[in-house]
Amino acid sequence: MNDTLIVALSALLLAGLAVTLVIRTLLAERSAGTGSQRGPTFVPPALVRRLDIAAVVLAVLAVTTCILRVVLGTTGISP
Amino acid sequence: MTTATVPGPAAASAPRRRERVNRPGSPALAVLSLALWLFGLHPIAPGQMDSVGLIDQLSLILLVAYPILLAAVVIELAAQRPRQRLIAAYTALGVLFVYGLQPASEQIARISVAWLHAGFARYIADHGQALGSYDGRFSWPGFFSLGAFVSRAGGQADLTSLLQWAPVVLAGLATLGMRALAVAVLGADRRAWIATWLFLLTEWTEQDYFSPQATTYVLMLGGLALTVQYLVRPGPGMLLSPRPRGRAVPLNTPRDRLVAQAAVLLIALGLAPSHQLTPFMFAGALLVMLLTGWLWAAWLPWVVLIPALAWFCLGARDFWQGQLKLVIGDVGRIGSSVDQGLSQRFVGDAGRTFILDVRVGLTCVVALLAAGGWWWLRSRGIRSWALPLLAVAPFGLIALQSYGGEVFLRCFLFALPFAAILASLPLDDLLATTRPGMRAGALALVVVLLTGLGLATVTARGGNDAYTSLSRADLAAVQFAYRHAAPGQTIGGLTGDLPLGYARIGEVRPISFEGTCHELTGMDSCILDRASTFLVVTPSQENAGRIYYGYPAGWTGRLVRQLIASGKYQLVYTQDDSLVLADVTAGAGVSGNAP
Repeated sequence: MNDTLIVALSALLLAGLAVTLVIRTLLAERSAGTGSQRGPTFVPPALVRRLDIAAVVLAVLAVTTCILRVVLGTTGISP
Repeated sequence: MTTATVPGPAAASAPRRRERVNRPGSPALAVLSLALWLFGLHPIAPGQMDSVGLIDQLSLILLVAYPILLAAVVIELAAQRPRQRLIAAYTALGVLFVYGLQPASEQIARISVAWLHAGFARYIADHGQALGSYDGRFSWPGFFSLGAFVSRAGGQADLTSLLQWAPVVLAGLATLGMRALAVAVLGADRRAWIATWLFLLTEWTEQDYFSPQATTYVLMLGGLALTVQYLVRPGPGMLLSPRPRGRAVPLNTPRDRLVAQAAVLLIALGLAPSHQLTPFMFAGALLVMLLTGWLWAAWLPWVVLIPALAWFCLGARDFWQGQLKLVIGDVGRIGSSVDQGLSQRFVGDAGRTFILDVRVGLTCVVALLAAGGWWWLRSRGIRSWALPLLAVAPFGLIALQSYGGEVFLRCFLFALPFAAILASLPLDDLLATTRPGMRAGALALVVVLLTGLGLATVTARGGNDAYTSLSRADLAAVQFAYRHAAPGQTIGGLTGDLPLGYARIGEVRPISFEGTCHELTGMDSCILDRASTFLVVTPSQENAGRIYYGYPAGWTGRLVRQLIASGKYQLVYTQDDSLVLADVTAGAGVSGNAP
């Protein structure tokens, strides 16, 4: 597989992960609000949970793609 | 916002009346200690030192300054209302005493790697990018790029003028980071100062020279302090309490938490291209906080880890194409890591072995004090695993890496902040002793303990100075070689203890015969076979051979005579005991100051 393609794919997945995490964190913190000494246990909204799952998928794909580059690069398969 | 459930120092629960007793003693003692330290300082050249290094050369007057300063610190800390500004000033003095001793007494910056790092920064400043396929460290160019930016912004050709005092600045910043972390964990009371001082007095690893690891360590401490202050639930101080139940929101606003997370992300993005180990250790610490239930921001360990992994795969290609075995070859080989990190390091003469014993002893004392802190927690019914795990987790690195034989040193460095926090707990009890007849003894015990730790650290840090410190004559000899070396030629040293590599990276190749020609018998023919265009010989190298490899005194002199007798080398420069030989057969045309 072309090295440039792997790098581009990794960059795309990492950018997607970054955007997902930013949105997820903004939403989660807004819904959590200000903490209090005896505040209720926080239950993340459904959208945050879905974004969490999306982020996990993107993170796994991004890391796998990155590792793939090292594997292909060190075995000499990649140009 | 502080909600620590652990009782604070005994002094805090005492009646809040204005203290009537004046404490003029502590500032006077601190001023006296500074005067003695300055008066006792004197220049020390590498040639003067023996195998125990710096400690042997220090004057008694200077050594007396340490217990006096620590007495001032303990008197102030034990007071009913410690004066924060004074303790902060004493801490600055402590940084000077421990980390400023070598810069103040030695002629030029020590540790040859610091000079090479200045050379890397200079290369980036001159060429706008790192040099590919040259050195694995160039694969993490963040720190060197920062150095290049600083030198260009300051109108300097290079950063060699900053090398000498860099340890004071970087260790001072690390101490500041430690104080911030200790305050976040323990609250802004006496225990946080004790933890800071324990860190300051036991950081013997000497990783605070001009290097990526020193800078990233400071960043990591800042990131940890931010995390514990704003992102541990339900609030700071909670690492000392039982594990929180449910998923309580930290006691701050969403804005506070978002800013803290953004700052940690920024730190992670700075760490990833700057050092190969620190971001992984930072992520590991955050993972421990997550697994033990304290970390609010569950994504934070991954936010630190993923950029580091991404940089390794995408940005450090030069490194993993040639040296991937260094990373994965040691995985699971604990025996090999222990062997390289301990057994193989115990080489050299009696003096060097003594220094290694001091380092091991210091590490054991810190571990014992930290274990005392854990016992302190458990004796108060606090079954918290967070702090003990944070102090122990860095040693997991042994299962993954030998780190070139430095694995225990790195583990200790990363474990130290949390070990110091644990260790501060029982010591605080000692300082809080109020029983008549016992108080003076308790305070004296703390002074003796801290003095012992501080002087042991001074001994350990200066233990290799007979060969890691350098003189102006050494630098002048190397500068002479650089002035006369043509592109493609080499400048070599018998050992690596030379200020080499600070200039002309990629053009003139610095080499060391330490790894290739280390058998004294036949060393001359080995060097002649692998000829270096210029060969720089210094007293530091003489000391290294004598102390580390057991060569007889005067071995460099005999070797120089053999090399000159071969007709291949000619003496072209000499200043004090440092000299330069030039390979006349390689066309090293020079006109030096040799007789």
